Amino acid sequence: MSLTDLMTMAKSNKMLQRQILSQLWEVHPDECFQCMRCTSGCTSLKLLELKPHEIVLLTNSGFVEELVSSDIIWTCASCLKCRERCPQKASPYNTIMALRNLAVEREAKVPEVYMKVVAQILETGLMQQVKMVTSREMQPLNRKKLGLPKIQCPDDKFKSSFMKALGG
Amino acid sequence: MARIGVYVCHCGLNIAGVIDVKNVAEYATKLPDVKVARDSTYLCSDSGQKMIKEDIKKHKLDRVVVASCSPRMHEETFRKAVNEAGLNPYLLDMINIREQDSWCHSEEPEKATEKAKVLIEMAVARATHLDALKKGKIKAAKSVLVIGGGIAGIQASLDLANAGFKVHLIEKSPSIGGRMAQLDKTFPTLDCSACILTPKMAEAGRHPNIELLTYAEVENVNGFVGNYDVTIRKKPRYIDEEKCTGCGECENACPISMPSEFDLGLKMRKAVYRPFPQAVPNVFTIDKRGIPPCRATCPAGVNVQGYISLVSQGKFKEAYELLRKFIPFPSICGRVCFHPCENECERGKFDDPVAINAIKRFVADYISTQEKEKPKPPLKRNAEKIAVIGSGPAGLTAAYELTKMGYPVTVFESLPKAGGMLRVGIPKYRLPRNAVDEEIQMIENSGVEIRTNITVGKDVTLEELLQQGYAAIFIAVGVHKCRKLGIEGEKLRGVIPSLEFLRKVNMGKKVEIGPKVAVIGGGDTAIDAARTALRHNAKEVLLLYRRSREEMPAYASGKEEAEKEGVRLHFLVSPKKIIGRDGRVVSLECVKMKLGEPDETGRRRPIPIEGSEFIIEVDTVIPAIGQSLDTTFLPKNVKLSQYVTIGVDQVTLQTNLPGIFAGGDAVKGKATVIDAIADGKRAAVSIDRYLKGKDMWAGREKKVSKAEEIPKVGIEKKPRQKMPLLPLDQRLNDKEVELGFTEEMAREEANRCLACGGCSECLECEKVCELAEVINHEQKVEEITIKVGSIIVTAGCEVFDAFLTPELGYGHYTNVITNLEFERLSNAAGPTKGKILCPATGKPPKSVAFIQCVGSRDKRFCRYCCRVGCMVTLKQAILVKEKVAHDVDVYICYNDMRAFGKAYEEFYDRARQMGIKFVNGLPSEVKVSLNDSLCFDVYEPNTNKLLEIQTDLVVLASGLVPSPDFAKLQRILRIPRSPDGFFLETHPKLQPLETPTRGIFLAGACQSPKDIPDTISQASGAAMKAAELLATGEVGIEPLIAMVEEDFCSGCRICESVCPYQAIEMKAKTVKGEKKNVAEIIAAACQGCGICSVACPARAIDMQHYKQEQILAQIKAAVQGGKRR
Repeated sequence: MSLTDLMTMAKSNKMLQRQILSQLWEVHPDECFQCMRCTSGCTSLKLLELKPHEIVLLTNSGFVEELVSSDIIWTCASCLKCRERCPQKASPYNTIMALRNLAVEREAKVPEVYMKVVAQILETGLMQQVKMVTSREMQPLNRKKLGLPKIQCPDDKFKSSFMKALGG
Repeated sequence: MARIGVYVCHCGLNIAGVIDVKNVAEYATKLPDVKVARDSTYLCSDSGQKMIKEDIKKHKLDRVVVASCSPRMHEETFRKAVNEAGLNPYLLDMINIREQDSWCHSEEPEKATEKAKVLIEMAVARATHLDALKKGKIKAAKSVLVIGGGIAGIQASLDLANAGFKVHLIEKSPSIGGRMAQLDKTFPTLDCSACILTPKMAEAGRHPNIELLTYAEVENVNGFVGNYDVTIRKKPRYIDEEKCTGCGECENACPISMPSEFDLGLKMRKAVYRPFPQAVPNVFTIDKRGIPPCRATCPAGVNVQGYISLVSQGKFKEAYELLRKFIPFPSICGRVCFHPCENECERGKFDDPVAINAIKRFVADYISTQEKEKPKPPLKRNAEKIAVIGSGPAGLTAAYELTKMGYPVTVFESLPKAGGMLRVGIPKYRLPRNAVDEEIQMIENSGVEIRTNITVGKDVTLEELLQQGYAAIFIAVGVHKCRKLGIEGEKLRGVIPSLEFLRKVNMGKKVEIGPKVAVIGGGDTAIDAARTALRHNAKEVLLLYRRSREEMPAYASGKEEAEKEGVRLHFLVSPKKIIGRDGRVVSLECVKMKLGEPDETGRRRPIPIEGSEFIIEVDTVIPAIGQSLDTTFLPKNVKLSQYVTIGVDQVTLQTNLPGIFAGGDAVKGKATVIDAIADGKRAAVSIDRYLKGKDMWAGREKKVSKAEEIPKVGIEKKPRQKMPLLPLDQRLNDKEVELGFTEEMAREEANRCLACGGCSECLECEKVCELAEVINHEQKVEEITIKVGSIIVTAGCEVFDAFLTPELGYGHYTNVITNLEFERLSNAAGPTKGKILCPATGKPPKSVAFIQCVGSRDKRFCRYCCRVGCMVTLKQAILVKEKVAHDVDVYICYNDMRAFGKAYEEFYDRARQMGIKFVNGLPSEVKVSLNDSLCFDVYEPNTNKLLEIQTDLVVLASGLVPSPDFAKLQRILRIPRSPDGFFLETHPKLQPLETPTRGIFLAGACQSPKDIPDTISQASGAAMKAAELLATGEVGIEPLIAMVEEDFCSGCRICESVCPYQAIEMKAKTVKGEKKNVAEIIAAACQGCGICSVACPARAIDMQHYKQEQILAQIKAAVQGGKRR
């Protein structure tokens, strides 16, 4: 008994599907009935061709490998519309996150921008770089000029727990 | 010694596929008392039954054990078989080795076989103890209650009525018809829904065997199968159902419009209404929602909503007449009332409160320009004379009310003219004297005698009045003494107490005031005094108040106008000393204040700031810091309150002296005109009751059923009309500052009323109804009790509230509607007279998109399928094509298309042939595009495209949900519901119409969402079930019930309290020569649950067929059998 994708000759891997499922709570991707509401509203579809319903269906069918190694799982903008509006509580968002975790676990290629965020957090504790702002009088202002405290470098305890959370 | 036969069924492979049936049968032969044990492929077949029957005869068996499927399937089959062989049917025991063994242990066949052996061994042990039992019979009423007047209820009622049964059909809304009456066409035939429904409605309405109970709800059900006692609560229609002809004159006269429930708020109806033209019964209903907040708040209980609604219709004369029923001073009230009603106005929670007072004043002003009818003197005259002391609003109101009741009333007034504070307190620029004169004249015209220039206490004493034959006295003298400042210099010339100042000015007397005036105080009297001073030569008027602007008690608009006119307000200032020279005021020493902690009135207490004293030069000081009662005229034995006012009973207003009543400011200290009027009315009722010797207190506590807060959805914001004012440069004389509304303004403003109470009780309907006593605004709830043999629940369902899916835009965009709303739009009797028009634009749509499964198949709301949404949408899509135009673009966004019934798939085909476009995907959200049309994105998997659909109208296929009323019905009828909230049938396939409570049946959508054909089939089925049950007038009852060993029963009543079926009654009996109360089981009501048996502390109750010895034998066999193996 097997399921084969004749375009790629890939075999379905049920174990990987179960592994993905085991990481999820309170959402049920296996109950998806393909109404496509997620894809109809997906923020990343128009630019980046993300089709959440396809990801859920491929995962449910056991074609997890191709997703883990794909770039498409990294295009999700985390707007959570698919999670909020899914009539079957399948929440494609959670599946996508589980796939990303699996990809990191396997040391698959993670888009550079994510690695930058990690480095940024380790350095400053912030997700984004601190930027200058411009006042209405076109004066460039930094934190010091605005009287804001200096950004503290996160301590080692934070760094180690953060890395642990990332699975590193 | 029993002789037992054991039979093990294979049930094809259902049992034998797992359990070693032969082995089990063989094991059974070795059990004690077993004479024969066999197995059979299908024991329920004729040959299987024949085998049992033959064995009974051949082996003289007196007990039979059958091991097969669930007893719910075949217990009756085998009972009948053993009975046919001459054995009592209750000597059969059946055990379930299918559902409870082979099916649940299919992966462990050996253990399953062992379990089967134990189960049989237990059954054999029990079988030896079984008793022969007999079925009972009870009389049954040949009548049926049908709950819900939709198509299911109508059909069930008609079927039963035609079969000769008496039917009570109960419906909570004013007409039967239910959901089907709201639909336009029906699928798949496109029959007009009303055309096929109304003949049935009419037939149900006139059938001699059907009693319609509309606008009624089931309140309670007691009893048991064949003998249900039902209590029904019939809501008041305020219209006699028997007499109303449905002519509709009342509807034309009614001024109140409210959203029509039947048209889902797409259309307005009147407060007196008939939901739709073909309603059965064809009678009207008045919708009362309680007392509106304005009326509930008014101290005099004026029917505010009533006159406002009449003004909105331009019925000013009628409005005036209604007003006069409540207060004798509409014109005065309309000018000076502080209108607490406006503070409570529901509209105020939305934008601004309705300008109630200004509307009232307009009505009074309008009427004063018309020719007035002379009030008719009262027909009846009472002998007792009544004296009223004081001709202010309280005194005159009491006098007016008492005169209307037929008493001769004399009012004594110490001043030369009647009116009290209305005349000498309130300045003319606020209350023109012609308004006062006119309304006092009307009171005099009605028969009140007013005697001026008589001061009670000086010219005549209270005792003397009593001696003169006045049977009751009402004291309403008001408060006319100003409180003193209590500072140095108050005796100086130039210090004039505010009330004295106002009184002199108002009576046209000369008052000397200098050019620089200081008024002290922050109340309305202070403002009145200050503004009056400005109008009397004062060049500069200062108003000193010791707290800040926020704490100032004077009414806001008065404050504002005073400032505009030139009064200078000084806050946080208190006078310390009035400084004089040559006996005249020259200046005022003041001290600055600050605010401390709040005092007992909740306002922050002013505290003087030491060393902040300063001096203002003034030549007149007018203190206005409160008033007090002049008590000198009162007899010594009249008790005073703690505030030095006259002490009275709060309900009756009677003083400690019988027959002497008091009200108004003399009791309340300082109150408002409307409070005084309220007191006058209250005192009049008390005096009437006192003189007639009736209970003065009975039924007078304020008990009002206030109208609930009303939803403000769909109301357009509209600001309150602004009161036109006299230009500033034309003031400073006696001219009235507030000019009053014009007719247009008054009507515009009256239209802002939200009609909180529904019916406003303006009583216009009574005037036009040509038949006597049809309309009765005092109608009360009626309780009806009936006895029925059976109950059919046909309570229908509700439509899913699409507000819960805000992403689809319902409630946000007017052109997003639900499919039930579409039915009303498409219906010829609906808001658009059958034209499908976009609600926002009123134009026919150029494209329509349907979105399926809204709320249905959605774990956030309803898991289940609504079962009609696909077909409803197909029908509506076809109607759009047929009714609007064939070139209208119609899209259906769906997930699964379910067209499963007879001729349904063909209907789907027809839709495709008409060019309706099907999109296999649901949109995530509905938005508005740049050109203002609705739009949404939807992913189409078959073409792998993301489509954007722009459309004029979006129709949501809303799901079907259980009605909130089900919880109450469940409690009353004691029938279960499934997790989806619908009522639960006994068995999903074999007993779909029955409930676990015998004699109660289900039909239609209350069991689960379904379409019309299924509903009608179920209704006929349920009717048949009820007919079958009651046909002979007797119902058989199973003997599997509790029984009481009367010897042991101590009459403790624990069993009675725990019985969920009310099947236990206590009866006084003589047991073995001892008289005592013992429990008795009502056989027909007992369901054999056994709770009483367990609860009985004396072990006096046992369950027939499940006796303790039978169960113990079973347990013993289970334990010992296990040991043996």
